[in-house]
Amino acid sequence: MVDQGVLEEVLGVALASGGDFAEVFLERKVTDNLRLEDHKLESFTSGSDRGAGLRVISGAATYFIHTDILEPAALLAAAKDLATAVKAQRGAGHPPSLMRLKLVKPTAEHPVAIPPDKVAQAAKAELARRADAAARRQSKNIQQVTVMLADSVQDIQVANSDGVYGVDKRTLTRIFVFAVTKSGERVESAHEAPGRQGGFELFETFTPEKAGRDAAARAQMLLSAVDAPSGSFPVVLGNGTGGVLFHEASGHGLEADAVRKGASVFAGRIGEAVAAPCVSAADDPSLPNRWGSFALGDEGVPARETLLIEDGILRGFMYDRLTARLAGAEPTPNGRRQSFRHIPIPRMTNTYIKPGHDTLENMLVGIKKGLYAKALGGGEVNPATGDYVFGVTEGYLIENGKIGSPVRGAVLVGNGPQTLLDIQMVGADLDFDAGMCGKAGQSVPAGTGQPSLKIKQLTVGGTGG
Amino acid sequence: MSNKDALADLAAKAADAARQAGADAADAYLTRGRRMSIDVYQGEAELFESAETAGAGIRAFRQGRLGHSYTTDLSEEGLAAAAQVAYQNAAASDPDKFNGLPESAKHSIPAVDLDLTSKDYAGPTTADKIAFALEVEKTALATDSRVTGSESVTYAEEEETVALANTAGFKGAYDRQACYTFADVMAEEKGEIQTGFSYAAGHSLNELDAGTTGREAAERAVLMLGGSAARSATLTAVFDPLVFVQLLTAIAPALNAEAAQKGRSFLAGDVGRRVAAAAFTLIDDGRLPAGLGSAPFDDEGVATQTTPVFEDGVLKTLLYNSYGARAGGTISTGNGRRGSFHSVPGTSPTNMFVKPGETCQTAIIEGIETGIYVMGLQGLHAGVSPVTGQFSAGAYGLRIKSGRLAEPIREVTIASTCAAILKNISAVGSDLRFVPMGASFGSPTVAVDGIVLSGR
Repeated sequence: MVDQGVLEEVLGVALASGGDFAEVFLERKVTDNLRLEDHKLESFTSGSDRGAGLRVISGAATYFIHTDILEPAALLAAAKDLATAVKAQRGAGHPPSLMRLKLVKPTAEHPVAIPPDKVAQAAKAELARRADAAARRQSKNIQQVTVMLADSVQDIQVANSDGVYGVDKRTLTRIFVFAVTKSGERVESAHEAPGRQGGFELFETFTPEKAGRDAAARAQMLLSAVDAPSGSFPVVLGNGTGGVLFHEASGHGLEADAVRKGASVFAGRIGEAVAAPCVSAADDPSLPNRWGSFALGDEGVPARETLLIEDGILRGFMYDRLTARLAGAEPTPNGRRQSFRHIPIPRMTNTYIKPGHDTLENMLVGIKKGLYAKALGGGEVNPATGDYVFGVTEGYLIENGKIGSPVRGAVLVGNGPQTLLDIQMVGADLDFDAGMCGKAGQSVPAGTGQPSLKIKQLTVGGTGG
Repeated sequence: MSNKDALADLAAKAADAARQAGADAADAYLTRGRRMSIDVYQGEAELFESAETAGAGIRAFRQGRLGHSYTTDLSEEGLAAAAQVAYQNAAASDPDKFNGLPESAKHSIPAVDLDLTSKDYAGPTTADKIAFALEVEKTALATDSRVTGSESVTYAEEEETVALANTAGFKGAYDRQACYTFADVMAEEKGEIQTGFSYAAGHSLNELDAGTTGREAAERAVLMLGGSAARSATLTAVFDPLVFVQLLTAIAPALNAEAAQKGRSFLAGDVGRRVAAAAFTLIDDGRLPAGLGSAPFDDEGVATQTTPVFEDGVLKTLLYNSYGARAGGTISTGNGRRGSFHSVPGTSPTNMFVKPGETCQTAIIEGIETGIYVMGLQGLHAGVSPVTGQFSAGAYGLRIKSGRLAEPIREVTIASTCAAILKNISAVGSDLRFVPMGASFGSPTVAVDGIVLSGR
């Protein structure tokens, strides 16, 4: 997008009033979004966004400015403004130094077979129609189907005063199907939303028909669901979407900004047992073509695995460059940003619990009354206390060791650290799911992964007895 | 010519470019703004952020088909290119007879000063703003010795010019300014950490009070220390204003007429019926003076208005943009809103608030034998369905015993339905507060009977 020489000059100007670190992040992003509802393709939106975010770190303070213009003159003007802001606070000043940037070559690859710009808009529309038709075929109780198809291609260029220079191209493709069913007065809804770091080859492995059928089948099943029981029960979490549990209940507390401020239950506990011995967990943006994957992080750190928990022992945190610097640690690839308009902060990429050896059947044995939470929806956690809540989008009663009636309206309430200790069995069936994670006003794609898990006891909130 | 008028002219050119590309009708929504924010931590400013942003969203209609595009390139060439893409995108969409620009009769915008800007906005220096944020943190720490630190304390401000023009002859623009402060602080006792939150907003720094925000966040954190899970029970829940506001944000999507028309609202078919308690009156007021959700016209160019949504428990109307209005055979309520220039206008509230009653919070609590004073809800976003009205969320707060606040309770859930919550409102307080959460939502303290609390 911009010559390396220009970036070297920009970094020098940004540091003209002092500071420990300067960075420039450039981005171009094109998107296509379509929405189908009520049998109709309502609208088709395309867009392009481009701009640069520049920051200077001085001690623990960050100075950040962004501009929508990628011309060298605009970047230099922004760098000058930044230096002026630093000077106003720090009062120091020295002439710009000369930067020498060196290209960082990431090893992770996420091949794109069918790039979104090679798919005609009419063909994208057809994919949405196939999902819609499949959902409507699945159930006679369908009242409404909404399909959204979204793709984006983001080109980034990042350079910093440590001499790091790199580029990355990220391609994201996702389909979202939302189905509403009705029987008598009763209305239920469910959704399915697979996505990948990659192009339209997504639909070769996960067809639009499957997305439509899955959403509709779940909404249909909920029509006959009984109200979820409330109380404390053993819970078996399904593989795949169940990974949002670890993401919410523990992942956020393992992000280094929460750790640094003591706002994490895991602060100061590296090397200690924080989970049952059967639990190992990691964060890894290098997993090929997963939803939260990339080759080079937004701060120029190449994608690689960060081990978080090993056999129940806390091994590491997820850092951005700032928190790593303050903690005297190596940065991990977790410094992420929603766009050039946002500062990078520690974020999860693909966070998952590693597979064990148990089977779902074994987990059910011996449970007299419990809940099988096959699919989970969104959730929320307070990282300072570890208290979390999340919704069960597909759940079943467990009665005398067998999966029974479907339930609706269940939420799981618990405490992250306690839940980690209460994991009794880990399945071999690791699977991943795609989601958008919100934090500090920024939303980024995050993959969650999990095998089936058996948890000794969780509070289930429901409307039934 | 002011910047405002120049942006409106640019919007008119962009809309015209779409027509020249072949569109039957088009509109262009342009924003240009500046924002800055300061975060402080442990007595030091730790983040200075400043930015200028600009963007345009263009809608093109073509025989009932809708196409849209956006760009951050506001040059005439950039806008013309985006207009061309919007027109091409319309080809891939399906025709819908309800698509189109709002009716021109709704175009006259009452010339009322909505007080969206302040002459004091530009006055304070960066040093004043840093001092303010530091004072919020300092007050929080000084409030109670158990307050150990802040998770985040922020001062932020933004000013923006919004311009809209369409090919039916509408052209308008307005400026708005706003300042905010947020505080998240931590209290610790015997190894247990709790957090507390407070927030305030205004049109200039002068309207904010650092002490009030710092103290409130500190008090809320300290109050939750020593909490434990409670036994399951059915009781009266008294929702703090900041919490009932969260509930409103979860219910609001069900008030969207388009959602109701398409079977995605638990309130579909309830207009004209008494579906809430008589104490409940809910107003959406796009012209609320100084309201953070106020504007002279909505993002389609329809004049904003004051809409009673619930009146004494009766659902009077849903909220309409021009599409929903045409589909419903009525007129837009001025609720056509875009999240940003990136998206087409949906339907969402402006300033939506529960009309306050005359009872103060203390008097409401005094009248309750056993209950919970809810200070926070967790997982609302996952636990509430605007489609079915099912409601289930984590909650924390204080027990109410014989009319008094008692020990903290956490790790419990509240399960109900939105319909039951609206029906069982037993008291509405006088202490109305607003919080901007997308739209601006406001509520006083609200008591609801018959809430099922699940715990251990």
